[in-house]
Amino acid sequence: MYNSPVLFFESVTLTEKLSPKTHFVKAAIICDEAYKEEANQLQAQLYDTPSATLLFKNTDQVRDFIVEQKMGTCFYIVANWDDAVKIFSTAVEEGASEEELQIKIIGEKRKYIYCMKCFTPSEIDPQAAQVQCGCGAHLNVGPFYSKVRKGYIGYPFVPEAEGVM
Amino acid sequence: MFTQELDFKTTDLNTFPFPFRSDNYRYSNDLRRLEDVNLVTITPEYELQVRAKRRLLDEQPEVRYQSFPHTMEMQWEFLEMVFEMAVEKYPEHFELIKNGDEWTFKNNILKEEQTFTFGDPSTLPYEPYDFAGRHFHQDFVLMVNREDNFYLEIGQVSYAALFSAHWNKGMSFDEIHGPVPFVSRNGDHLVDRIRKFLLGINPGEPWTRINWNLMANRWDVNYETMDVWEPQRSLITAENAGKLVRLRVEEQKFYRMSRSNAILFVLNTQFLPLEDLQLRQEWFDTTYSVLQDIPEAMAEYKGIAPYLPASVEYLRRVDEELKKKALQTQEG
Repeated sequence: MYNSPVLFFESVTLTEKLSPKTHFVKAAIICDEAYKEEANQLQAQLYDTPSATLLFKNTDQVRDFIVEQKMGTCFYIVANWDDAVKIFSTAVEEGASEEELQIKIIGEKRKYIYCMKCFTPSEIDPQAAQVQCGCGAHLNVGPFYSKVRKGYIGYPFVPEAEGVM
Repeated sequence: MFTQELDFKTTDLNTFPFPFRSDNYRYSNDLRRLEDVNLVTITPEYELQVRAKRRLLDEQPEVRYQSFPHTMEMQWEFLEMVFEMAVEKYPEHFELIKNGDEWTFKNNILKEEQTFTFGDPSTLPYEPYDFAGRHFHQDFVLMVNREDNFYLEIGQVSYAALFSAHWNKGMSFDEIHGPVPFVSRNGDHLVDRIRKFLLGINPGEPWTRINWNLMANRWDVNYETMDVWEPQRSLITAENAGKLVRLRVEEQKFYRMSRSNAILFVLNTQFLPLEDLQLRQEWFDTTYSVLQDIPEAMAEYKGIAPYLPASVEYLRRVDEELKKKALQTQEG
């Protein structure tokens, strides 16, 4: 569905540090094998909460693992941005809500802008306030995100008018 | 290319929905029951405005019209509703002949006739919602009710005020109104209150409210053309504001669709140049008073901050002139 949750730069599911959500009856950890220490650290905090862990090399096995989990499970995900996007989408397709997802990104988070001139999204420097689109339009990076357009709004402006070269 | 010639303004002041009821204006949930439930109105500018709307739709189809493929049933529901309303209110201007699913719609003002099969979009030149909307001067936005929110699934918008059917497609009521900064006296977010109110609207009992803005030599400001209109706003002076700045009034009507349960937003946008306010002295006085008292946050939100001072200065000069003349008449 077009209004299903998506993983984006300011998603409420993103966290700097994984921490157990106490009101869930079970935890499922999906962790890039290269960062299994993260899974171990979380596991230690879960105490007697039942849990299952998937350490993955690639995301192919993720769907089966998610489908196997019972209702009331919270998913904790440790992955790079591209893998996290795939896992997030899979989890949502299988019925998970944002409340049931907590994600720690290893490496950089990606940010996209949607150009209001050429109607295409493109990746930008997350710190940038102004960018130039591939179509040539200069854009102010807006604060609003569209799940349908898959980017933050890019307001077109004339550089001379705002003193930007 | 994008045309922005202002080729119409309200000429019948009796149909102009003057927005101010007191000498100062603040946002509130000002919805009231709609007395005339029929949304079709033929103003003296009907033909000019419909032709302007169609031109915009043709010039920027992706900006002005958006829909999801799954909305087709709702589109037919809309077409049936507005065509039947048109025929009921203005039988001399519109005709709808039904022969089973074979329908013929006649618009006698524009001298147009279209025969189509109800339920078969391939028999129309545009999607049913787009086709039907092109016969009326209003903008039409369909918000589908899912759980306790509304989602924009179809939009035909030619007179946007910081809005874009393209950008806002698929957004919830809350997301669309994300930039609205206003909170009520008891701390509730205004948008949240209005959304909750809309949830309670019943079929056959539409509601209405009036929104207003100023436009600097344009009839709309959308995100797609921000690079054009944003610098232009600084060209407004006290000398040219009377002609170039228009009071833009948006009469909004909200209908609960009986089959889809969606809410149809009907937006009747009318324009009155500041210089025409003098045609009704009480409108001039009230507008002058309101514009002097606009809080900064509201001016920024409405996008009028750069030329509000020049507009107020224009009105002040006119006011001074009027008072001078009145004094001279008194003395003479």
